[in-house]
Amino acid sequence: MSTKKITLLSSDNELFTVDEEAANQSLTIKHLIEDTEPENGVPLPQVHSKILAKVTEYLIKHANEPDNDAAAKEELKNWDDKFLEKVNHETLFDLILAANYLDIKGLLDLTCQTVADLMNGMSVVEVRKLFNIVNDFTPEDEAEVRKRRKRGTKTIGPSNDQANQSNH
Amino acid sequence: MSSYSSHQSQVPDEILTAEILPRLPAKSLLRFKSVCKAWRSWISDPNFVDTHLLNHQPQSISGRGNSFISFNKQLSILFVCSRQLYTTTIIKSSSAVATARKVYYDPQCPNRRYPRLYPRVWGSCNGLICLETEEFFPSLWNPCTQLYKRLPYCGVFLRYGHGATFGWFLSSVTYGFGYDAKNKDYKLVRIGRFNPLSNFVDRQQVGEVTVLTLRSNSWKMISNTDYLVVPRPGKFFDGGLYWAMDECQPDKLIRFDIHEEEFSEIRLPNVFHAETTNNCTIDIVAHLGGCLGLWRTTDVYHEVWVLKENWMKMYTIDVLTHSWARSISLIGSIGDVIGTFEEKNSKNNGVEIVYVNVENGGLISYCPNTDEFRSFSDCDEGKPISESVITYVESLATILANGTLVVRFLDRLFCFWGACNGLFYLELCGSRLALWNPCIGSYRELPCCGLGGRLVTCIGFGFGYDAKIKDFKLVKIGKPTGNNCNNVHVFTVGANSWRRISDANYSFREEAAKFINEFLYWSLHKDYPYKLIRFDIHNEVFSELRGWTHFSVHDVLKPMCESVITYVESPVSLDR
Repeated sequence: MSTKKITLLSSDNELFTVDEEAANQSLTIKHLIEDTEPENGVPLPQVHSKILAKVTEYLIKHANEPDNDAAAKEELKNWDDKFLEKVNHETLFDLILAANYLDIKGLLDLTCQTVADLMNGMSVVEVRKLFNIVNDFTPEDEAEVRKRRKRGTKTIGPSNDQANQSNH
Repeated sequence: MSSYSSHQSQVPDEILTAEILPRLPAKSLLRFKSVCKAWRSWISDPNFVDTHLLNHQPQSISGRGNSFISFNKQLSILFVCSRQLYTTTIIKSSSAVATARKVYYDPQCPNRRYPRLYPRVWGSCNGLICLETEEFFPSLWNPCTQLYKRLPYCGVFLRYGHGATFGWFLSSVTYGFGYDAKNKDYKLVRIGRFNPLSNFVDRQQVGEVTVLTLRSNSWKMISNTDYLVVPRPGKFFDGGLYWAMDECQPDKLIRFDIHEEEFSEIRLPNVFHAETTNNCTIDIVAHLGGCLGLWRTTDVYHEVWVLKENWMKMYTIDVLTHSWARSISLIGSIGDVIGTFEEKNSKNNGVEIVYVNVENGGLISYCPNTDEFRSFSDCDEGKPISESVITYVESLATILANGTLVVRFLDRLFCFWGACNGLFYLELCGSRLALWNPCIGSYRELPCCGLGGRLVTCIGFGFGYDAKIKDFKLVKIGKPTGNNCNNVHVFTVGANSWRRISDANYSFREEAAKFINEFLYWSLHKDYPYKLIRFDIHNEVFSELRGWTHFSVHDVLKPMCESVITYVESPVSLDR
């Protein structure tokens, strides 16, 4: 088993060292190593050291994924839950971007699922705030949507009377 | 487009639409349609709807479904109680049943001709549910988006006939609902079972298979079938609809391929044949650990089998040692095994099977790995599951339709009298007559044939095309009560009216004429075996054909009479 070390260079020139096996979970890093064989570390100009620290932590933990050991899998799952527990929204988004850029499928799944779980309990207004989205619906649009939704919950049957009533 | 500010890291739209939003449950997505215009268009996009669906389905052997979620922790349930529909959910980690929500549907719909007071639930696929709240009018409904669509009436298409098409009645109907992934279309399959009327003792029961595709929004006849299926809902699994068979064919299941529209047989385990089948019922469970499952129950045990390469017994519950198991049994139309919780990659790897407790209408589940069971408790006043029950996934699936309902036979029974140039000639209940082109969906009811108010028994029909005047003609032979003359009336489609022509005093058999080379042919009653009557469709005169002395005319006609009538697909219009 190879124990070759790989050095990663963050956008603010900080160095991180990981085993090659851990680093290879990132397809981007893997291809960079194969193509360029960099001597002074793999340059990752899009990833800040604060984020890369988190990413390497994930890579090291997931370097040897258990195949059939259910208990080990359970343990890893618990670790994943803790890993993102205290992360703020901004870091979470940065991690998604890093996972996407570095092409780490496991981390992308984990972070996206965390965001989805987060959103699930949110109101529309909270979601807009989370993603910095400006509401571009006019008040008329919103009234129309509300009306339609109200009508929908009333009846499923072909009862035209009811539909007509709520139109007026 | 969505308006982002620039000071904070942003998740690109591609990640949002491909990785984050598809993980959300349908209900949240419906809410988030009002986040902004861009989100609304993403969430409404048909491709997004498909992706979302794929991620929220249990995995099947063909590998479709469930790329994000490695287990299902929630079952959405629709059931019937006291003639009302309710939805509820149960969650794996909790033994409470969510408060049942009443579904409002309008039981007083003025158009309904045959109200079904007890709504039935026939199938669930991709979050769409097939309901029958009014007899013979199935409908589709997405409980999540509340979209509802009433489907066209499915009439009786055509019958085997030993001569006439009289003498059958529809004794039971079962539906199966599934998704044809190759055509990206939903299909509803109906198997109707016909019993002969009591005075046709020589006949066997037959089945008729009709299919509705949602895109065409019309029914078409597939075939007659000798398979006599148990009239419970067909179970959709991995591109096929499965039915258990009647007690006279207990050694197999049938699978109807939703894309090919063909039946195939699946043999049941050999031990099933060895044992006596008394008091033994089987039911099909779609999705049991990614396989087709089978639940078999007798007075003394319950068994669950799964179909991998061969049938494998998953477990047996001995009723004597598991007293709770007495309260689960297959009765009537209740969905029995209604669903499963499945969790992969966990310590207690395996499934938990949810049953209906038929004693109190509650839910009960069994985990074969740990040999534990638990009951789900109702949290409100408790709506017992009394009739139909089904589980569904919450989805954004839309009910597409690009056609409109043209054909609607409002009658439970009709006779089929002939086909010519792609047109069918039908008799509806109450002796009303109609022409129908199933190919273009055109349908026209004919005016009444005036017979002067006397009671007339109809003893023969014929339908043909008069090439010389380029018009279709119907011939109706009636026998007035207490009169030996047979009145003959002819209807021309062009004139849209009936007229009487000279009587034809032959002993017609009650049957439809065959139209061959501009003549309509009838055979006669068995006392006149050596004669055929033919009718010149243009000149409108009857003549006799004689000369057969060596064999009975019935022998000649029989093969023709017994076959299903075929028709050509044609664009012939009924507007003249």
